[in-house]
Amino acid sequence: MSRTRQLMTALRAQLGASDPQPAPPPVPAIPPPPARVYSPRPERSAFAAEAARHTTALLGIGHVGTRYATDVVLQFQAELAVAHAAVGAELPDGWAAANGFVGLTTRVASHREFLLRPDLGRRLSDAALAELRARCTKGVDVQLIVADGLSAVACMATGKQLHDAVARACGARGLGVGTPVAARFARVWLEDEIGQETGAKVAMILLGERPGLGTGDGLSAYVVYDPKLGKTDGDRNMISNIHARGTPPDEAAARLAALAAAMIEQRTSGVTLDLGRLGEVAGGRGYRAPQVRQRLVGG
Amino acid sequence: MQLGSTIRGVRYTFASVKDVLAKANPPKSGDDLAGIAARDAVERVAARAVLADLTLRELREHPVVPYEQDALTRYAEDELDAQAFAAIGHLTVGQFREWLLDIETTGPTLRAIAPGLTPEMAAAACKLMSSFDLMTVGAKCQVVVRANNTLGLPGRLSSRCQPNHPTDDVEGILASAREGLAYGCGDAVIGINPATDTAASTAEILRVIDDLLRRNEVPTQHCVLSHVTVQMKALALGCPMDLMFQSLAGTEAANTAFGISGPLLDDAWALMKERGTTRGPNRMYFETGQGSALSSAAHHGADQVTIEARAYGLARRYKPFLVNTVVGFIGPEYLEDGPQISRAALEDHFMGKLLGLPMGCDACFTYHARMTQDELESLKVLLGAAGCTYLMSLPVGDDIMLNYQSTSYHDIPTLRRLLGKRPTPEFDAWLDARGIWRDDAPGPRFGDVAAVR
Repeated sequence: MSRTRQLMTALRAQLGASDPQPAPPPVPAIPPPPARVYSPRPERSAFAAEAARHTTALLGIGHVGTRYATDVVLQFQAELAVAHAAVGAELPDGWAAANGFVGLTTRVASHREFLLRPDLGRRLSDAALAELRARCTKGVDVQLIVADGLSAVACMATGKQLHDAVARACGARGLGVGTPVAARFARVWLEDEIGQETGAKVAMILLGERPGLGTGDGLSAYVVYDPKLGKTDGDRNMISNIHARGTPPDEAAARLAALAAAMIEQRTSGVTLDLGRLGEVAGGRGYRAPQVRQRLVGG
Repeated sequence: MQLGSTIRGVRYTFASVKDVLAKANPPKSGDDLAGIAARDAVERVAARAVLADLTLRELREHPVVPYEQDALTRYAEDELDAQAFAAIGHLTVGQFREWLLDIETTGPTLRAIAPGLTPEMAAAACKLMSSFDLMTVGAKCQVVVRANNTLGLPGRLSSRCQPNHPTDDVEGILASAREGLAYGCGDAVIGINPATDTAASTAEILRVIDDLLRRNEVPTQHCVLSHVTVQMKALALGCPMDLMFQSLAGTEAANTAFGISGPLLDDAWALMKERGTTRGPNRMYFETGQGSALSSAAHHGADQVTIEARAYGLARRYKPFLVNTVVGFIGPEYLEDGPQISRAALEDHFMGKLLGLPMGCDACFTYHARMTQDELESLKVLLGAAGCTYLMSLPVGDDIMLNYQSTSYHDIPTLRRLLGKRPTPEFDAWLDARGIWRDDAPGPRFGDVAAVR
């Protein structure tokens, strides 16, 4: 026997020649674990009930070992799926025309390029620029733009409704609104070029915002005075989370029209716009309403 | 200095050290966006071959932003430790990589040479390393810091508890912080990103968290992550403040866009030494992330890994208690997907540790980046194995204000058990006394918010 074989044989003897593991214990009785349900009912957790009055964070959800209960896992996965579906959705060809908008495209060619090249989503394609020049009214007070942004789902759900509400609210303040346009693969700063081309005093883009967990349906509105290429974020005012469970479209429209009127009156926007003179209606330079978390799985 | 190499008979030449550094990077969408990435995988290796033969002295002589144009370059050059640099300046980047990986090169030695490294040297080594290389060296580095407790000891994994709220409802923040503590999270800091960036709001949140920590005798630190100028005003209001926070970028121009400068940070640090409420000596908290300079067109044509290292060069001037990259927050135009985010997290941890920082990581994604939850969970294990000082923690990992996905209250105890890690010793003792965590397992009051009044 070789030296190596001898060593192995001795080692095997030392470890015990048969099964490397002892027999498992007898099979125990396994009763179903107690129900652990997302959004615990008040009778189960007073803490969760109290916390839910102050925050939408998922608190009081318990644990199995150090991990989540199955119900929590499913709720989490459903919320994640909603967010990813919103990001992945695209505005269908013809959506703009079917909803009474002049359809515009940007320099972006594909959804992946849209995510990777924000610079291309800030500029109109040559064809769209020609279309805009041919079909849109010039020299208006407010140019509204509906766009997909990072959630075409939100745009399709609430874009038309919000556009019409803002147009009405502007009209009620005596502000003239431009030809309705809707842009695909668009970023916020696209409002600068569109506003510049239409010679609008104020440009306002209403677009799908970056989804959060379980929330793919929020629109944001960005408003800028004297729109032209080269404006920066500091030149804009915004309202986010516009949808039925956040800031409802009609309420947002009233705020947005007030902002536009203030910009025209003060001839500025962004950090230099005096919001103090607007009172409660504008709700600060960036306003976000709290939001209610929905149960997505089951009844 | 040789800026060309030959691969399979094809000659590749590069315009500058900056160009070599950029093209040697593994693929990043942000380098593509900046138009500075290698054309293909072969050119990338050609750049690495050039980089491997450059000496650390040559890197020192060719910073990616010129000395005359940038205060961060001047800090790195003027404050470099001559003795430490003399020990390593003659090495090529390839030799430096091998020296870092050598078993004989230990944590204390790495600590000794850290003051002799410019950020560009750390970035250069990074570009020649695989994930295992980055983890192996990162795990060797020892950076131990102290405020109210002691962070970064071997065998420890800490967490920031991040009970953010979209409208700064203090009852909502408190409920989340209590739950986090009941899961053993928060030994690095209870740190809140405020929705409202005002001194009054910062002071109010700090007072509420201070009461919570005192009432329960929790050995940790608090911080509200408003702009540094806002926190300085809050301190003037007389509020408690254990750590002062600021986001940092890797060029002077990018920091100007953040509304900060070296002199401002000097003032903030001096104020914290005088008025901060921890025993110290470490009192500052910084966050960084690849791509931030490019987002304000302040990158000077340099790649995002090298610029990130330069942010660490700025951070180390202030002997911080916490520094973390917020690696997946910036979005897919800079880090496209799971592989790019994971790679960046390991790069940032390695570079920060090598430069002497107590490096943590906000391992995270936004919902428009292509990263799955499974990839994110895997990344947390990689970071834990690499000796990452701390991760974040939130309810289900969901930031309800900033709308992104990070580490959860449940993930931290899970990781500690998987990797055999413990929280800071002071916090470990507190968890034991409260019955939340015993030795290496959940205690009888684990997850029970009644354990934290």
